[in-house]
Formats: sequence, C-alpha cells, structure tokens
Amino acid sequence: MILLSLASRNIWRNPRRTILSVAAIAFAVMVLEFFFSLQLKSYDAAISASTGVFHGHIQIQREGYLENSELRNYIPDSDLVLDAIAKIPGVLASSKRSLGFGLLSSADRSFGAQIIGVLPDRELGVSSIPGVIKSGRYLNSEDTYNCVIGRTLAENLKVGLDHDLSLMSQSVDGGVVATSFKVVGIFESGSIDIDRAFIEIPNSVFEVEFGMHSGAHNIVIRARSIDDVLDLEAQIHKQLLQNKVGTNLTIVNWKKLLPGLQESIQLDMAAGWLFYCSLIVIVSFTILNTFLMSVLERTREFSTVLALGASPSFLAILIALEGILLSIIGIIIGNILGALLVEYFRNVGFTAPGAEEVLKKWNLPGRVYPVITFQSFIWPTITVGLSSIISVVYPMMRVFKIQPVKGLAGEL
Amino acid sequence: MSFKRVFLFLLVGILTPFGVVWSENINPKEIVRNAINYWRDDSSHAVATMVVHRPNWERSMTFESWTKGSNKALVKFIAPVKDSGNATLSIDDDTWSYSPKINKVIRIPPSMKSQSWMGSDFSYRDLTKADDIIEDYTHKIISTETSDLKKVYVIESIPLESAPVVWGKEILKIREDWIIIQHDFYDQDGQLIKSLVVKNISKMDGKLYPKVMHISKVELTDEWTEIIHDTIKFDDNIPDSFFSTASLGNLK
Repeated sequence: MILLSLASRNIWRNPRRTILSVAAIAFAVMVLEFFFSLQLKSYDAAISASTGVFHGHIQIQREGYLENSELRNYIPDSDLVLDAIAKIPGVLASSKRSLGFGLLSSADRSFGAQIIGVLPDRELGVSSIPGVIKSGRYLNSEDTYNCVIGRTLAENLKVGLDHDLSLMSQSVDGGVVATSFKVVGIFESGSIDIDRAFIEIPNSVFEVEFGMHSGAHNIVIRARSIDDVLDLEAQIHKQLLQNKVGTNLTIVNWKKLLPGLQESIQLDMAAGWLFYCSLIVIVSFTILNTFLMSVLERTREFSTVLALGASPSFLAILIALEGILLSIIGIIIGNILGALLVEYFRNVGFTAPGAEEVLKKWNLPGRVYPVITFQSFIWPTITVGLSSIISVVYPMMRVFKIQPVKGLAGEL
Repeated sequence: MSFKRVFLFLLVGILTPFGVVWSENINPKEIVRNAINYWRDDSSHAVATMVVHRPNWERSMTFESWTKGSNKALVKFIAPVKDSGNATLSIDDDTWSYSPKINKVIRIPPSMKSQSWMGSDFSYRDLTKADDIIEDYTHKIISTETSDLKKVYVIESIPLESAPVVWGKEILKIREDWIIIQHDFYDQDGQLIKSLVVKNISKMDGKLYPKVMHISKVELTDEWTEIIHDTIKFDDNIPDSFFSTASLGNLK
C-alpha cells in the first residue's frame, strides 16, 4: 500500500511530464478505438449489404454446385427442404431459386444473361432486388411470362417496360429453351455484376421451361444477424438430418458464396493492423522515453534510498507501479474520449472525401455510422496496456544498475 | 581459310537445296491446310445424327447441314419434332440462331460463342472456326505414326499470342490422305481437356470420309457427343444467297 501511494505521489511530482504521457496513451487508445469501431462497423455493413442484395447469409445447394454450377446439379425435393428450413426459429427469411444461363435478345441486340427463377413473394425476404425497382414493379405471384431485369442489362439490350425479350438456352435434358418474356420492372441493385447480367422470372415458369421437375438450385437463407450464421448452419444441418430430406446437400455460408468479400475484409484488416501497430510502437517509445527520463532524473534520489537500505527490487516495483498507474489513467481517459468520438460520429456519420466511390463498390452508403462494440473496446485497451507495460521494463531494469556511491557522486 | 572450312561450306551449299525440298514436302502448315480443305471440300450437304450423352440421359437429334468455302455453314435440325426447325447460321465470324418457337433470328454475341451448341460438347465456335487453325497457329511435326497402313503426321499446333483462342495447344493427327483422325485440345497449363476422334472412315460420295466424329471431355468419360453422318454430298453447288438470315426461318 505504501508502494502505491508512493507511486501516485511520484507521478504527480512532475505533472507536465505525466500529463504528456497520459495524453499519448489516451490519444492512442482513442484513435484505435475510433478506427476499430469504424472498421468493424463498415465490415458489418459491407457484409450485410453484399449478402442482402442477392446471395443471402446461407445457401443450401447440391454438393459440388458451388464449384460446378451446372443446370442439372439441382436439389430435387427443394420444396420439402424449404419447408423444413422455414421452421427453424433462427431463420429470418428463406426462399428457393433456380439459376440458368442463356442468351437474351431484344429487337436488335443479344447478350448472355444469368436467368433466375424466383418465388416472388418469398424473394422479398432474402434479396434487396425487389426493393430497388427503378421503374415498373417487381414480380408477383400471378406473373407468368414476365420478368424484371437489371438496369445495365436493359440499357445494353435497349429495352424498356412492356418490351419483349427472347430467351434461348438449354433445358436440363439438353433440349432447346426458346421463349419470350415481357419486361415489367427494371432494378438497380448497385452491384455492377448483378445489374449487368441478371434477369428474374417466376420460378414456376423456370421449372416448366428448363424441365426442372420442381427442383431448385439454391435454398437462400437470411439469418437474424450475421453473428448467428455459424449457429444457424449447425441448426440447419440438424434439421435436414431430422427431417430426412435432401440427400447430397451442402450448406454454404456467405464467406464461401462471396469469397472476394471475405478476402477484402482480411486484406483491409491487415492493412489496418499495420497502421495500428505503428501507432502503438510510437506510443510505446513515448512512454519508454518518459519513464527512462524519470528514472535517470532520480538517480541521485534512488541512490540515496538504496544507500539507506532499500532493495533494488523495491524500487523496480515502485517504477512498475508508476507505469501501470499512468497507463490505467491514460487508457481510461482514452476510452472515454474514444467513446465520445464514436458516439458523435454514430449520430452524424463518418465520411472521407472520395470514400463514397469506394464504398459504392460494396453496395454501401457513403457514410459509416460507427458503434462501440466489445471488440472495439477491448482491443485498444489490451494492446496499448501491454505495450506500455513492455516499455516500463527497460527503465525498471535500470534501477538494478544504479551504484549508490557513484550515483550520489553524480557519476551515473 | 582452312580446307576443313571450305569443305563445310561446300557441304552446306550442296545440302541446302535438298533441305528446302525435303521440308516443303512435309510442311506442317500445308498438311493442316490440306486436311482442313479435304474435310470441308468446296461445299457440302449432309444429313447427320448427333448423339449427346450425359450421365443420366442421352438424346439424339438429326440435322441437315450445308457448308460452302471455308466460312459459310448452315445447320438445321429436323428431328425430333421438339427440336425441329432450330437452325444455326455461320458466316465468317458471325453466328445466328433461329428458333421456330419464338420465330426469331438471334445473333450470337462473340462472348457466347464458346457456349455449348444445342447442348452438345461442340461450341458455336466449332461450327466455323476450323480453318483459323491454319493461320493463327504455328505448326510443328512432332512425330509420325502408322494407322491402317497409312502414315500419320502428329502435328503440334500452338496458337500465336494474338490468336483469340482458349487453348494452350492442339495436337492433330493427320493421315497422309489428309484425313484428320484425332484432334486433342490442351489448356494453357498443358492439360488435355477434350479430344475429337473419328471412326468408320469409309467412302462417302466418292471420297474417304469419317462417318463418325466423337468428342469427349477427358475428365468426364461419361459425357460425350457423337456426330454420325448419314449422307454427305460434296460440290453440291449451293448458291451464296442460301447462307443468309432470311433462309434460317424459311427452311422447309
């Protein structure tokens, strides 16, 4: 106890230096906490935006479909699987889709397109496309040979609402699919790939034209939150086993469905850590400097104490305590400031010049609204705390080198 | 100049003309050109059956085809009823498809040409691109074999940097009577991807011609396509105007 009060008195003997050190630590914590919150939040936003457009959080597919997306690789009893899945409490929404590739042509132009058979009523829950119709309307359950297409595709084909589009493709048994659809809606999802290549038609028509026999290629599932995905995967697995439906099926989560997204996040995280690490290193040196100064400055004083019979370890512990006290104060202040900063931007949103363009690529709005999470609080605290403890070690060791006689003579 | 050198010069001088004659005799590019010309002839009119085999189904379709020169081809399906009337026309680099169901002629964009044609292992590009191989590739005879008592040239054809092809190299086996008996397609990593083999070489309309063409993907032994020529006539004197989008829908 005497050590603690000594330590606290010691650090306030030179308030200016203490304030500087505390400020350095607090600044590091604040910046880390802010950027962490921002980064994690933007990842969350990127994930939910990217998965929300089309792919969903989880998909059930026939084994091997992800690698080899062939028409004939479908889930035969898709309705049974869909019914079983919809009963799981963690499933916020689910639907099934059939996917094919074909040649789409208007009066004078033709393009390859991804043809998607959807259940219009259920699609709303798993995809944002029904909500981003720019003109016309989305499909409904009464539609037959009607379609909605992406804006870029519509421009490329030079078609508008009520125009007819011819589709040529191959059915499951290799026969020719040739039919036409009326455009009832044009959507703009913000995803370049989707807007350029997607055409959605009622699944009932897809089944007939492509000879799917009520099969489907994907069961798309939306979880309540992105954090529930792993749990939900396990539940789905159990449910499928219990209901004995769907043989040779595989459960795929967003990380596999959108491998680019996961990789970008990891890359961004790595780049982020590079920045954080340099910040931490700079702060560590500031702390090291301050402590070293405070030890060297007090050589005479320490020599006196040692000459009076105190053990060097007593002094080492004292210095360590001073360091820890400083760090704790700095971290607390830093966390408070960080939280205030995050709270401020949580309300007004954070944006940087030019960020909007980059963010659009991820289907993100131009502003990010950071939120403090356990992670964004714990990581700065731990990393800055650890690094200040490490930087106290060297000044601490100095104490053992002090020779009272020389120190008192001012020779050290 | 030493005697040895003079002798070498003389030797080279004497042998060079022979060398030229010798290599002209079996210039690999000419072999490929002759083979393609033999295969296509000036024009042809054929009726053939295409069998597409897949692990869980097999379907067979009958088509009538017309070709002229090295750049015109028209194929029309006549059976089964479900597929009859579907037709494909290729002129130079352009390809059109016609379907009676929607009564429309659709131009196949270049990006779609490597797609499967009528669900088979042939692509739209396979319908006409055959003679691109003469100019867009460098050819080298890598060995010779014997098949049916005839000499067979094994030619390695590597696409030029500028050639718009997906293949890394192709190996052609051409018999000395200009019949292509095998055509292997390798990817950029040198892996054999698909292989075309001919069978039943027999006399058709006065010349030896492969009755059966069998194409299969190497990885999937259970997936193949076979084209069986029922009848073929060469030099059928087809007018140029026949190869037009207008005739696609009008074929009866």
